[in-house]
Amino acid sequence: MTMIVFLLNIKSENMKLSKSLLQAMAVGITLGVATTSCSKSEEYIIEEDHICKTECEVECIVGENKGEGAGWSCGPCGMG
Amino acid sequence: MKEPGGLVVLVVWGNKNILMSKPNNKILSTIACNLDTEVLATALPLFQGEEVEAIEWSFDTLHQTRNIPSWFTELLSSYSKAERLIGHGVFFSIFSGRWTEDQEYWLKHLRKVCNAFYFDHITEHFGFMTGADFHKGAPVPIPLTRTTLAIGVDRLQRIQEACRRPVGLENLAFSYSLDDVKRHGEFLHRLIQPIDGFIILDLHNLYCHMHNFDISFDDILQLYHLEEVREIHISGGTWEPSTVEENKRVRRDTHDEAVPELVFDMLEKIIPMCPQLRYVVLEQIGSGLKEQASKLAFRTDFQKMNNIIARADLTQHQNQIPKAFLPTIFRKNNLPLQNEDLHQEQLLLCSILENAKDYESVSRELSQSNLARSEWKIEQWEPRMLETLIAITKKWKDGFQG
Repeated sequence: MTMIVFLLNIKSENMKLSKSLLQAMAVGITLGVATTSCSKSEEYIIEEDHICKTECEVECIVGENKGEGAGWSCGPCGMG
Repeated sequence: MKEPGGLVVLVVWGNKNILMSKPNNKILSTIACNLDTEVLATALPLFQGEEVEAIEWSFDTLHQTRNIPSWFTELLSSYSKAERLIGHGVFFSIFSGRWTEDQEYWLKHLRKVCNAFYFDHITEHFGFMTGADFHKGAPVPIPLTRTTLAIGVDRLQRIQEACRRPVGLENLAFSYSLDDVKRHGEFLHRLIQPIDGFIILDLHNLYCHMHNFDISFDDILQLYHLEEVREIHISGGTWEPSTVEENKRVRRDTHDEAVPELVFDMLEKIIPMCPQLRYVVLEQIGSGLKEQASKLAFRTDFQKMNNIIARADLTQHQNQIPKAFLPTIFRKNNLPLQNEDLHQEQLLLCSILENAKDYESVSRELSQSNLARSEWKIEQWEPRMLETLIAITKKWKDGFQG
């Protein structure tokens, strides 16, 4: 019978973010670069009924085809 | 005192796995973190103090946003690389009777974000969304039937196939009746079984049930399969006086206030009972964090949550190998299950609720509709809960108008 021993690495509980990221967050928040997660900020909102297609030019958070996704209004929590 | 991380020795002998040292499956203090100025500003000192051990991101809430600041993407990436990013969907509308194009896009988007970030798991809400296209409103309960069970399983399988990560479902705050509350936990269990999924237990949602239906926490706990809980939510809410039931008020899950002390007591009590628990998430919306006092209260709530986790009795958790909550094979039907009758009923219910003049007219219309004497059991709906449902659906009729 074969016995295999694995060593599994478990990460430390502390979650350290880089100084540069924390500074960028502080500046971004101060300048109000973030929007509220539910609001329709003029600066960041694309047209109301926008549904992104593969050729979409609107930027999206990820992906090569910038802008894939649907134009839903949002309210991530606190619905009730 | 939290233990540091380290190595775990796992011995595989024949077909048996033997854990030689204890797994460090610590419970992580987490915040619900979206691109929200107030939430991020409030949480910044916690990030700076390395106190936020994980973040939960509602990945489907940025669709109308462009020029995402690079630091937000970097924040997500940092937690993703540490395998401490979890995804919480809002708009999939699992129980819509008809399969929609929006759901296809939602899955496509999910695939994309899962390629960009590593999510430790993905979750969604119970219920179907009200609103014109079932994607703009609030999650509302459905009849607990074989039809809705089959549709729910079909949708969860699709989510799982898209993300290829563990998938979980959250208990809903709103219920029509005590009978609904009593059946909710078992129905969740039956939904997640086919996908080897897990449950998010939202304690404030249970708190709502306790007050709205006069049921004790101990009795509610009997209704859930706690060994399936991988994530817990805590948050605050508001009281709404009922105008149709004298001296009654309804607790609503609005996430705009501090966490009630009783919810912390509930957290302390339940952690030892959930051996697979990995994340405890503090949720609050930005609109409730505009004042300095509320910001301070949020950070105090986080530290209270952190302390409860740190001193929790984890005897039951030890010697438990963390469950993968993943099936060996990702299954899904070739075509999405649909039920036209359910779709029509959902349309009818939304139409009556959203166009309501007042409680009396809604009550009358419902009793004269196809929903009367049906599986919706509208005859059992508590008047104060119907009144609340009208308020919720009207509030979210056109999406967020903040």
